Amino acid sequence: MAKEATQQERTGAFWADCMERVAGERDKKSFMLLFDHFSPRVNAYLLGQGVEASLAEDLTQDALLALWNKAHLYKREKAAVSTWLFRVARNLWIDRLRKQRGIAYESDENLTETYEPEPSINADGDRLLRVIEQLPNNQAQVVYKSYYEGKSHSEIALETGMPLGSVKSSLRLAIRAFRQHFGDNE
Amino acid sequence: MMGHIEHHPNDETILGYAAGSLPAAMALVVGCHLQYCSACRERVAQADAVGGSLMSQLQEKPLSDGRRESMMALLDANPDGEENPALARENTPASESRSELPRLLRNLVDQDDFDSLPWKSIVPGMKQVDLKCGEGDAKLLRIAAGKQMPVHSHRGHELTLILRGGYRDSLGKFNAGDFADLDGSVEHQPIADADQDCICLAGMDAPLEFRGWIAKLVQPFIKI
Ligand SMILES: [Zn+2]
Repeated sequence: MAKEATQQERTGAFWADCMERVAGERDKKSFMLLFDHFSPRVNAYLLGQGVEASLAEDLTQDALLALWNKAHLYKREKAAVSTWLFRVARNLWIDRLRKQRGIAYESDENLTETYEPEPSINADGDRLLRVIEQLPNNQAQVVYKSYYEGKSHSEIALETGMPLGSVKSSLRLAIRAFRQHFGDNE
Repeated sequence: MMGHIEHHPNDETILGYAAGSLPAAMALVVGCHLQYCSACRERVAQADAVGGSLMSQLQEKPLSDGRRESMMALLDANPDGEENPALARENTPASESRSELPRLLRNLVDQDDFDSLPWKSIVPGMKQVDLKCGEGDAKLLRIAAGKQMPVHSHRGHELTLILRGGYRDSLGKFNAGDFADLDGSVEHQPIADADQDCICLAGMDAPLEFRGWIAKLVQPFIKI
């Protein structure tokens, strides 16, 4: 039933539609579209976090399987599919390689129960992508190192030679740009 | 129990939490604040969305041959996915809502009230419980009503969540639910409210540093 969208048409809304068909009809074809698009990206994320290659592929499959198994928990007005998958992949990475940090994150089930819907979140990740592309180099670098190498602020300072204060202020500026995207600037 | 929350984590701290890059001791303090603060839950959701968009933008690393087929086999093995979401909700016992401790902390220490914890006196008017978190340094601090902590600065970055009572220092008034996000440059001397003990959860990436010779003298013993 899914009209085969061209690459250009595959936006956040397209992936949210796929998720709804997985939840409602257990539609494997829609799921495999999600798999083909997101698995190389989840895999790239995990490799960036220092996960060894074959474990990264196992965890990628686990993340996508969670998408299939928990599709009924997905709410398009709350998060883009990429956001949801990022959370799942991050938690899998923490479970395997940073087990101590697991104490600080609630399980997915608790999240759906206790977190109220927060309607002001714009679930369309596509515009956000444009904000990221427009960040100045040093800001993009610290954001990237935080998310994709799991580096703390002081590790980033050490590695890039930037003073700790500049690492933090670059992050702050980047977050301000993101926040404008989310419309929090009123 | 938690009134209006006035003080929140910095943006860098929220981002670090979403990215998974905060040490366990510090991430725990943020996670507990989130239970009480819907504004910060939203900030974390936004930071997660940034993570998702960045992930979408990464240079693709395709899986090895055969992984697609094994994924399809997994779908056939789990045709209906997880059972009714209502079942998943049951794993939160009703008793938990009566706990004085935030959920994540309760999971860690397996106690429902502060008084049952193994408090150890460190100086008159101050007790603490060391929390085993394996990365960084997390503890519960209990400052007796009306007492003042020694002046101290932080060699590293310290996060504090007030769980009961309140205190005042040079940065303002902090009440239950409030979050103090202090980096190495801040020196402070909190004074607990007069009416009840102040209980806080603190997480840091380096030990506290006390100033003045008396503090230096007691530091090896109090080991904050
Ligand atoms: Zn908050």
